[in-house]
Amino acid sequence: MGQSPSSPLLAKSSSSSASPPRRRSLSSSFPMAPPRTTRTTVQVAGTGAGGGGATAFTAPPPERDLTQDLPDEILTLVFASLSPAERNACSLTCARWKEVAAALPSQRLARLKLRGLRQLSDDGLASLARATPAIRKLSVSSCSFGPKAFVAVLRSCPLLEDLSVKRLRGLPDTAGAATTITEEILFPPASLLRSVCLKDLYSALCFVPLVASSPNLRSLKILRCSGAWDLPLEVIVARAHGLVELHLEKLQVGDRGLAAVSACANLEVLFLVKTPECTDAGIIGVADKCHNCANYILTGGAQIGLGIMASWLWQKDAQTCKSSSLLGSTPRCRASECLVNTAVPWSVSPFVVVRLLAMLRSFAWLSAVLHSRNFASRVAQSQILGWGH
Amino acid sequence: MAAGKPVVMVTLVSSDGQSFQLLEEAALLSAMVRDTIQIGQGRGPAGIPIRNITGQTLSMVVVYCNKHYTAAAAADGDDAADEEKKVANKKQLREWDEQFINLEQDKLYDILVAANNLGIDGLVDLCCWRFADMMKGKSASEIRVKLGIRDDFTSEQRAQIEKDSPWVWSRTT
Repeated sequence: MGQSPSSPLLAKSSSSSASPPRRRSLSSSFPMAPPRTTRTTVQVAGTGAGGGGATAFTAPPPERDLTQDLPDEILTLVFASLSPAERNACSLTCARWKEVAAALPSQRLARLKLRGLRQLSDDGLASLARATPAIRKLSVSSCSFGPKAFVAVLRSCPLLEDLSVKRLRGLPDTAGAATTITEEILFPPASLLRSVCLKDLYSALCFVPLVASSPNLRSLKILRCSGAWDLPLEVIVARAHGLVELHLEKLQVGDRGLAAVSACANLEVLFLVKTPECTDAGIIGVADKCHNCANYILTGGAQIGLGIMASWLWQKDAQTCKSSSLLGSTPRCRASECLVNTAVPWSVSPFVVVRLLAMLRSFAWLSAVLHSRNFASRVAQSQILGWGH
Repeated sequence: MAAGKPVVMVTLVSSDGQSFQLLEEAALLSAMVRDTIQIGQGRGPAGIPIRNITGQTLSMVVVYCNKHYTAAAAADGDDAADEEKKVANKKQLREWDEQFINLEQDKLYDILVAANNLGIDGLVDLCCWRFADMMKGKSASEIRVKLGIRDDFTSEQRAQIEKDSPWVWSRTT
């Protein structure tokens, strides 16, 4: 921050060695700040020279500069509560204010969303990242830069916690080739990165090294990305053991990938949406190994029947499984019988929440379930929404 | 409030020699006083000299500290009190703050500098809020007049700004 020569931050330190420097985070709200009120201003008659705004001044202009002794931190605090337009006005008052106000947004910018910036190149994003070292959450969509830009981002923004990438155009075409995950893009380790979301990417596979270089990753979402994901999942899970939440949607992922996922001992939430290659066996494998997994949400897997849930509950999972949702699945007839016949686990796990959404094809089916061995009384909460036709 | 505790007073001496007595707990709102007392000074009759701050400004700061100390002590005293009362008290204090800081720019500036030097976070925030409020809806030249800022842009800088963002001058100057 530019310290103007006249601004005696120095005077402060000389006057009181004990006085603390103001380096508080600017995002802190003003706890004492009263709500904005309309202040009555006294119109001074006869001072028409300055135009409308100037006449509203209640006091004559001061003799001295009323800002010179304010350290930059204080000015920043003042500017922080102004709107961008008002801040613009401030930055045009004098050179020092311009510097302070200009330094304001980027240095403490924590969340950045880039959308539809077709002209932004890799270098552009890199220089942007250099100017915004405090970014914690970055979300890009429909932009044209490539994965190399993220190397620069990870390097310049060590605080990055949350990365979301959607519909990038500049990615190399690696669709379908699982071998490309070893491509030589050296992503620096991102130790704070906790959440990654990849969505609608033709070549999300080139982000696999990035994901794999984040040892503290907790949440991973991969939606509608092309390519075979079994091998990449193995690579990711091998390095990021701490996954808590995994969301896979419309992916080419099969039981091999699920077997890799089952190595995440801390997994709590597993979304599997439209992953037709996953079979009952794969999911039972996950259920067997991930004992913490309390939420399973499975949707529309052609080969996943309701039998799956029944099997979990039948097995050891009943105690930990808090919520299982089967959304819009196409349960086979056999599956419903399965559920009816697994009344024993219901009594074991009174906290099970079962949501059966848009999957119930017949009422008779449901009544059979409800009448089976006090289902309703044992299940603490059952939500049955979105009736089938 | 401070039932069992002995009452300790602290004296603050302004740059022009006026002295102000206040409860030590109230004075501890200031980080500078806190540090001074922590290193074992300032409890004597000579008090704590506050350089660069005049008696007039210091008196306002002392009023603020007293008020906020009393409010905090009252809130501590009846901690079992219901939430509604707490919210009401907070609102009351906020209104008091607002009244208190409704000053002209000269005094406000002095208090802000003083609060920063003394390290009273709440007062700094309050002053910053008031400062920002003062600048709201004003153009650059109006702010300059109000705060006595000299326009020190060189003609090159001015041209550069005009080149970078031609729209700002017309709108805000």
